Amino acid sequence: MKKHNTQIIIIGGGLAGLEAAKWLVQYHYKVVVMEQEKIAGGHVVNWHSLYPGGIRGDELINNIFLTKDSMVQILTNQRVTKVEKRDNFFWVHTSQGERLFAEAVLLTTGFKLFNAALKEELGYGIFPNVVTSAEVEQILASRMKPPWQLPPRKVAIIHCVGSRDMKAGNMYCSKVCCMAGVKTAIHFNQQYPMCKVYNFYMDLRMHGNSYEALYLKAQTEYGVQFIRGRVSELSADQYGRLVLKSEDTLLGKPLKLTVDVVVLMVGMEQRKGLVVSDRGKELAAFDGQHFYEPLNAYDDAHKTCLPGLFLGGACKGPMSATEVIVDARAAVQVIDQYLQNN
Amino acid sequence: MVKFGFSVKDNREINLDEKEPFVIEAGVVDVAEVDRCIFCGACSAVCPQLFSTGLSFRKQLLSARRGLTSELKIAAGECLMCNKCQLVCPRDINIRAIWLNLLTSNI
Ligand code: SF4
Ligand code: SF4
Ligand code: SF4
Repeated sequence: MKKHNTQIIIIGGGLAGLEAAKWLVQYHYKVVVMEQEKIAGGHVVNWHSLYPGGIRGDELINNIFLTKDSMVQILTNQRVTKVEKRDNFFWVHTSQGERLFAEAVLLTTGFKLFNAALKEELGYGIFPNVVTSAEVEQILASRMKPPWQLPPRKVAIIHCVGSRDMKAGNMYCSKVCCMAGVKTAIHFNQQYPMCKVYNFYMDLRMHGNSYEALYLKAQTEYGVQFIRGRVSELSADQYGRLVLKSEDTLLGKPLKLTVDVVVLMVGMEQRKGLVVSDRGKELAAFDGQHFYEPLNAYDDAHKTCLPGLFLGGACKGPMSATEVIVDARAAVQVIDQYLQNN
Repeated sequence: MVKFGFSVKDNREINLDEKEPFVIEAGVVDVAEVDRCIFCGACSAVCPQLFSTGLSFRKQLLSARRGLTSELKIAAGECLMCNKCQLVCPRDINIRAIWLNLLTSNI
């Protein structure tokens, strides 16, 4: 089989898509990455630092670009509306009405962030100093102007916003935000040394190597206070500072705290708007209500019910950047195996 | 006086806008050491006094962190200095020494 005639389309030019593209061209396939934004790189480009090592998001993406083969074609401003399976190939339709041919399709559509304004009690969109974790990453990376004028002296970081929340429709833990919350607490202390940070959590999920150590560092080196309880009310006082109410559930007592800045650790959600069809029939598994389910979560974690359609990265559920890279690389091997046998 | 069948307790709100609790400011306890606590309750579960006097280092430390220090000195007096708590503490905090410091300090 002449591999370089075999076209693979990757939908989503974020970390997963670019990483997979980089490796698929090493296998001599023709790879096209479809990205809906005007530049590729996904959420990660805007990230101030990625744990555990603290690499800048744009640096990580640039590293992939540096090593990528010129064979990778990245089409930006291309929103894919439909993936259509025919006998043993695919048509990938874009919003501009174009149609591209592919023998295999890899979905690396990633996630979208929970819309924090839906949790009205937390005041996002009402008070300018209530910001999301994604905005803080951009502020700390100097890609965005902070809404505060003076260096904040007290900051509250609220975990699990839009995650582990039946009412928000998200019955899962977004997995990375505990770690990111602790990391953000440290970054605030580094950027504003007079700052005192309080993290409000339900459970602290510091999974994996080195994360518990970072938690300890936040406690002992930066004096970050961890308060177990979900913030249920946020209002402003006459000076425009933000007043939080919660229960310290470890003491069983109501708690009040006034801060300058509130950071909401927003969770991850599935994106909507992509239709997958098999010979004219739309597949309900891709309706965008839930993260995409692979055939099984163990040894078929990249295949779908549609042969030739593969999944990679955080479209399958919350993942950290390191996990996305591993997952994308694994997808490459599965796709290669499929195309060899076809 | 009308009896409602319930009463209102004093000092029930934690107000973190007030200044840091004095035990920490006065340097009575080693801040870097107690900062390690993750409030897991292993120390209080193993403590022989939890069953008799209700002594809980976890609760007293957390309360002090939140500015509630009224019970601290009495609690220190309840400790038997047996050191069982340090043996089980996952963050290796020398709890007995902290009680002893509190007991002998004049706060
Ligand atoms: S990782 Fe932590 S903050 Fe994020 S959803 Fe899970 S428990 Fe909540
Ligand atoms: S040293 Fe004191 S606090 Fe620790 S277990 Fe013994 S009695 Fe309890
Ligand atoms: S056992 Fe150690 S870490 Fe756990 S509550 Fe007691 S002092 Fe804190």
